[in-house]
Amino acid sequence: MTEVVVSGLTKKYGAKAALHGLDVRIRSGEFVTLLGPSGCGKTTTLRCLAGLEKPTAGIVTMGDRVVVDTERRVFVPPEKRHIGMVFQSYALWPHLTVAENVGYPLRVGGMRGVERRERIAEVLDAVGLAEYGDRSATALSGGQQQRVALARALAARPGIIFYDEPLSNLDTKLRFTMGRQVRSLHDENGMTSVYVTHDQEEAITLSDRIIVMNHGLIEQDGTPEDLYDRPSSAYVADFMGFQNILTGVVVEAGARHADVEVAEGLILRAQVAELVRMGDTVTVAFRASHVHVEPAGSTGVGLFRGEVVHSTFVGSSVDLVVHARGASVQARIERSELERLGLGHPSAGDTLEFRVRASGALVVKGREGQRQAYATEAVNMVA
Amino acid sequence: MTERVPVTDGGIDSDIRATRLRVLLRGALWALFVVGLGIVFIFPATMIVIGVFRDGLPTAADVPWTFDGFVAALSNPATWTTLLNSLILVAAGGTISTAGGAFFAWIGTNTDVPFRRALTPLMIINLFIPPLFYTFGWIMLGNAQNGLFNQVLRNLWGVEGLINIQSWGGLIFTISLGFVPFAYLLMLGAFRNRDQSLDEAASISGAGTFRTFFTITIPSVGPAITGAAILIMVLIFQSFENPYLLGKPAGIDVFATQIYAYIRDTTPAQYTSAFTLSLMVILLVVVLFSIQRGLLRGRSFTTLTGKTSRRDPVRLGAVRWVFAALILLFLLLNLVIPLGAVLLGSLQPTFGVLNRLTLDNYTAVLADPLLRSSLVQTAWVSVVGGLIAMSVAFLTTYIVLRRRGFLRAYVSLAMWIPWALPGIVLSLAFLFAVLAVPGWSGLYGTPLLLGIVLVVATIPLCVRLIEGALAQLSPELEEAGKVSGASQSRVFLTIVLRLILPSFLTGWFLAALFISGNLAVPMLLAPPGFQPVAVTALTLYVNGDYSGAAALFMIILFAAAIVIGLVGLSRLLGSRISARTSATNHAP
Ligand SMILES: Nc1ncnc2c1ncn2[C@@H]1O[C@H](COP(=O)(O)OP(=O)(O)O)[C@@H](O)[C@H]1O
Ligand SMILES: [Mg+2]
Repeated sequence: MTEVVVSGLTKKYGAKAALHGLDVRIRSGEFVTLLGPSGCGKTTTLRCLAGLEKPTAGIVTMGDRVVVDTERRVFVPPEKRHIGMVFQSYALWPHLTVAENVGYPLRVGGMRGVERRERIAEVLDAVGLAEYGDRSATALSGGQQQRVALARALAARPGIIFYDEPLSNLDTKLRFTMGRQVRSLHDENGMTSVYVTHDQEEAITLSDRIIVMNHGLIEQDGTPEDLYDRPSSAYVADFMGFQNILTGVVVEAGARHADVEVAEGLILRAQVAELVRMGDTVTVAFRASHVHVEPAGSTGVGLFRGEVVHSTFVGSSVDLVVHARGASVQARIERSELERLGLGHPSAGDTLEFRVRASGALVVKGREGQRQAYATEAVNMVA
Repeated sequence: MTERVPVTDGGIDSDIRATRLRVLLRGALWALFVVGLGIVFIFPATMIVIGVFRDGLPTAADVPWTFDGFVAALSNPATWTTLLNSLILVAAGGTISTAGGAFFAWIGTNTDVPFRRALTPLMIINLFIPPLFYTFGWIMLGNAQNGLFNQVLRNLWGVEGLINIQSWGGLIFTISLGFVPFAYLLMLGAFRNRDQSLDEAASISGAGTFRTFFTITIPSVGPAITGAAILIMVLIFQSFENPYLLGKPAGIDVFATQIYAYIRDTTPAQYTSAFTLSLMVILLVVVLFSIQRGLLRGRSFTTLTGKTSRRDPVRLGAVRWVFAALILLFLLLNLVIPLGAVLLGSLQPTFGVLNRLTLDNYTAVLADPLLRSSLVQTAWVSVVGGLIAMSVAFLTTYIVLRRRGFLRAYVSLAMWIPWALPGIVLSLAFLFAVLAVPGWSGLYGTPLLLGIVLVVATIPLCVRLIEGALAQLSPELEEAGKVSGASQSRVFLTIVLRLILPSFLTGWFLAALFISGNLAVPMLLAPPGFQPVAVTALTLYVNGDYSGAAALFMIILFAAAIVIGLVGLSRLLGSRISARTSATNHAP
């Protein structure tokens, strides 16, 4: 069990900074995931925590020990940190057997004889590889190699384990089971886990807490529910699968809601986290599944008439691209909803009445150039 | 029964005929190829086995079959001394050069040692200079009587013969140093491609830099290291120049020199003993190669490829300056000092006179008709022989890569023979092969035979050079060519050869240099009136004319440097011109 406190963590490669003064606190026993697209600095953060990379500036403490303090010139090398790590490439040593791979941290730590053998057997059993001890590590399948890497990281019972995209080399089905195994081993052994992935689903299902990173900065930090339901920025919303991100002007401001005109005459009602004022330019994000079809002649906020320009059948629902007053909106309509209204499958050219539920739409922090990006995306989609 | 589709255009008959012709022609060509390989590679090798049991030249009448020579050779203590000496040299030289090569390969690819980027160019330059030249350089420096080092020591402190390169120490030193570049280049790829996270995983597990290096880094490239070690041991078994020039004066005989002694330094020549020793070398080489096979069996060292986490090189701290100094020391020992000695020697009016440097030796060499013809003949043999060696290596490697079944197995076997036969054994085998066949004995004592054996002796090097390039050539490139309508030979010339051309030219150059530096083969086979530079230089050296020998070597190196310079220049011009044309093409 190890608590990690990071402050002002900066890492520069030459003149270019990969991390810009990160502040993070990872509580003891917590399963924290660093999430973000490729190149945002997740691996660099992880490696700085593990000691594989020397930070340019900052302080890192693990438990009650300062492992990095650039001002006081403290740097504890990885071999002195008592940690575990699962690498993306597994990094199994090809000249050693499975048992020798798993036993290496124990051997280095000075554990010998029966005690070591028993510990190896115990961890191999925990990952379901009890029978494979004598095999050559690199002769196993991808999933098995993954489990050997996991067993090796666990073997010396480190207080904290780092994972760098450990599942990215597995196929989808295996990824799911392995993810579950990672989490249950975390729960059984009661250590701290720091996990890196670019896959939001993996992050949501495994973590106690997710830290979304963007260009070497923390964009948002919260529970999976927080991030899934209340992304604070367009960047996170996009990453969490909010298909519609539109910019508009506030025409009516309330304490919890605001009405935003995203196109001329097209006004959506959205929840606000921070106070907004009339006339502010804001960004509204909502999922395609938060768009609903309304009976003709309905009235109220968030209602708009739109022309279907694209319709794709996806099983239990229909995906639509809708044009309304110059704005392009993606909608996912349940077939049961269409049936209730007595409508058939909409096809291109149909004009229908839509509504965006205020409970699903959020006012989020915008990002530069985003209006442009979404405009092109919408055009591409239609073309 | 299916209904026959009536053939309306009548073209089928001509197609049948064309197919038959193609099959015949191809069959004839392959048969020629198979027979040719058999004559050049396999038949001479059989001579060695036969030679063990027949006492005398094949031309002599009524040579009896006998075990006597074999038994005599095995009961001769000299044989066992030779074996012991060879084993000592192979073990010591193989270990040191492999360790050195691995060390430099690791420094060059995985660390932050200053000057590490100079390592690969340095090693390549080293490889381009034939071992004979280095050995001469070292003799000029470390000869007990009048080597430069000893002269300096004598003048400074009046010490005599403190350094003697012609000794066990000198032999092992030069052999080990000489094979470091080859070892380095053999292992470079393995060190460069290894996943650095293997080391990081060890650090995470609690192992320090030192422990990680010895328990993880080195073992994880194990097969590359043992592979390089075994190849180098085979090459040391076969080496002739160093043992002949450095070992023999100190009374150290190894296989190659002892075989030579049985043929040339004893009267009558003891052929059965020579062949028995040859057979022992071959067996030892076979044993070494089987060890390598055994080591590799059932072990997979290919780790998960794809995104390897290549990060910063290992930070070594202050030690890196020590390692940088080692790089500089290597540069000095393996290039600057021995070559400098040859250069200096070539400028001295008489060897040892340091205060009046002149170009007289060069003018003398170029003015002497014998020496000049030696240079010209060497140039011809090297350039033509190098081309033929590269072509054969290219063709056979290609066949081994692309064919299956008998042809592949047969060609692999044939190509394997020059690996197992040292130059001196190869020469002996060819000598007997030529004499054994009535119609061929006319070849004996001709430059042609010398040329053929030099080519065969150079083929292993050429195969090594071309293998890498061909392995990267995907068969689909050729298939695409065939589908586009090009004939097989056209595909071979316009696609395969074209893509391989840079490697081919480099290999040709290297092969030519190695032929010019080969001493073992011409010592046994050079006909009267035809003396390659290696033998001429040796004669000059034996007669005490060190400076003349040095000038000969320098002329060869200058010629090689001019070739490199011209190639570099034409490349530069070529890229300029193509850049300009493409620029004009793209102009609006
Ligand atoms: N060794 C390095 N040298 C230079 N730049 C690097 C190095 N390692 C990472 N970077 C840069 O730092 C940024 C963050 O990289 P990384 O942490 O690997 O991202 P992620 O793991 O989120 O994909 C990237 O822009 C990358 O190009
Ligand atoms: Mg990464």
